Amino acid sequence: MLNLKELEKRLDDALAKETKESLTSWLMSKRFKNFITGSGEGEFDILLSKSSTLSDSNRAVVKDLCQSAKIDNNNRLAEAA
Amino acid sequence: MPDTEFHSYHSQEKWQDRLLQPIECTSDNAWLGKGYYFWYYYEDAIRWGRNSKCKTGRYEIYKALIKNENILDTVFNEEEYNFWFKQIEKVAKTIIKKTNSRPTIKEINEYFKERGTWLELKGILFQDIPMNETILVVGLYYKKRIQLVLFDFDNIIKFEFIDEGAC
Repeated sequence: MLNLKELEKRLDDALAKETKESLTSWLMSKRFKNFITGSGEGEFDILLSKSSTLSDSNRAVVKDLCQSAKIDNNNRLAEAA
Repeated sequence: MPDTEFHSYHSQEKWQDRLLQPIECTSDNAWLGKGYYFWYYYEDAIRWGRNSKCKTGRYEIYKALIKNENILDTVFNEEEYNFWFKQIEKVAKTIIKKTNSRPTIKEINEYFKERGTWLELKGILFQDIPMNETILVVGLYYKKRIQLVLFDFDNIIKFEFIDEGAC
């Protein structure tokens, strides 16, 4: 039988630890992966405008995601060859 | 859903070979995320096969015997239903408050698994949109349209082909 109190506690603990940064990073990584899955072949470059509201840590997340997308796409191309 | 086991039904396109296990649904809009989806009522499985599993012109129905263990029953169990919607709203409110962005179905489901670490949760029984052409009274949705999602094969005791038809 499921222990609902334990499930709720774990969720509450996770939510309590979330900051604007951590949750934004998590959400961005989800949405970016989703976008990559639906896109074609090629590479990605980061192009952020000077007026971007992204914080430094989230800029780093975007850079990492671009890098991993590049690797994933290269792997896909290698598998297809 | 007090029984320790219950039956439910899986609809798929008919292909050359019979299935030995259900096919995972990976659609971003799947109500409860990635998983193996079943219908609680046989007639809903037929309707889904006829209307949505038509790529090959024929559909198949498989009957599964499911072990009722670590499945969240949000349809018949009042406590589990109240628990479930409270958790969804809690996560959604936090995401909206902290990111100013409404979560998608996929994101909410993944949050529970990844951040909430609800790894022992094997599945969820839930009520689908209550539209159903098999109801006998116009506009009265007295019969629930119920789906089950399982996140792995652990609770599937038996899975067998039972029927097929034309779309």
